[in-house]
Amino acid sequence: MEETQGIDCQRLLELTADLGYLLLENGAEIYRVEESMERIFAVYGVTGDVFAIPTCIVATVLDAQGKPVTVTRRIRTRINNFDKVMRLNSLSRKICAEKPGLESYEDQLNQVKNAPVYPAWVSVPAVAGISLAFTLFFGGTLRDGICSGVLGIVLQLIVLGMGRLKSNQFFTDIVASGICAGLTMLAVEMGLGDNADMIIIGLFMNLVPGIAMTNAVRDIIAGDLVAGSAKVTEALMIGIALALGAGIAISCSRYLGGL
Amino acid sequence: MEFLRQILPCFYAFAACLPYCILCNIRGRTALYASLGGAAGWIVYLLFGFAGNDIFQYFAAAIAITAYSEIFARVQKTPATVYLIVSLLPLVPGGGIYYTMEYCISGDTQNFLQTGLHTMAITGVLALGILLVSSAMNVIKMIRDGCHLGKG
Repeated sequence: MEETQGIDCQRLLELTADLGYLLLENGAEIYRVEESMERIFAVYGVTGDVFAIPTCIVATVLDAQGKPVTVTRRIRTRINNFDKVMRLNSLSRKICAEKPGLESYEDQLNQVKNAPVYPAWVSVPAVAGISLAFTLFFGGTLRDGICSGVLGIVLQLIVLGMGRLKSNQFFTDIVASGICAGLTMLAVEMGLGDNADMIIIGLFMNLVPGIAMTNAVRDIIAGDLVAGSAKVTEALMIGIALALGAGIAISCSRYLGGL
Repeated sequence: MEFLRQILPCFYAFAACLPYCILCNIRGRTALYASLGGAAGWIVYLLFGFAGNDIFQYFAAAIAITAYSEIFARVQKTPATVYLIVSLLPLVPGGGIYYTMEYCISGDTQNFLQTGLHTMAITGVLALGILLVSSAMNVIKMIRDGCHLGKG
């Protein structure tokens, strides 16, 4: 109990909860969040427990008087910003090694918070590049690749637009894959592309649930079955959404134009 | 020429992974290593072509990529997920999802079921590959750190 004297437990708890919140928000695994927070508490000599699921963190510590203090952080949006995860990871290593004062802890945390991110428009050419490369990867012709690159721009604009309209991910995926598949059928009919399947697969690769699947497995390895099964469900839903959107568009184009 | 045609997809895999790093906001050398992992995964996939069974090829590639990611994570002191997510992207069965859907809307139930199961099998072996290697790495790390078995 003596070790906790002189340290503002509540402040430490809030800062550490912020660190955990940032980790989870930016796409870290559950065990990383829980372990980082618990290690930091241990370094400052505070007894604490952390419970995290993909949408929420609850952390409780005992203050100097032995009274429990609890903080809950609700995670509403999750993005994939692994640069921040890496910075937070090295920050928590550093804190555990150096045990800085809370002022310096807060400064360093704020530095990570304000770390540079790519502006949103950069993702548009990036998606175009991914679509082009994957269309070629799966055996499409150069013409297919160019079609796919151009449609990749449309795809990311839809995704960004739907994000701004606060649409949920599944609806976004259905709409984006539907519109892109429809445009692909049109492009192939007009003779701009050769293989509709290669173009659509190239575009699909931007939306496939690779991240959800990988994180699901890593959560399950760590024993976080709740988070793991939540992410498996997410991966399945994304896959179904993709198939559904493209399926609707392709059926429509077949019925309408006999493409 | 034949060799080039075979090896070209590895370059495409690399070229696809690099912009994907931008989407995940992975920067600098990490992005380069992660993308190289994507190309390496496809090389392993091709090397195991003799097996004549693509499920096994995916499994081998997943094992190779996870080992690559875990090793780089230890060396660079960064989370393994970062490398794993990017490197695994070329192996994710986007084609499988598409063809399953395609057979479904054409009413070809036989092929729909076959492709659907095949896609699920690929996903399964990818997950299994990650699971085996990452768990093994954890155990190895514990042994190397001189795990205090008595203390639990």
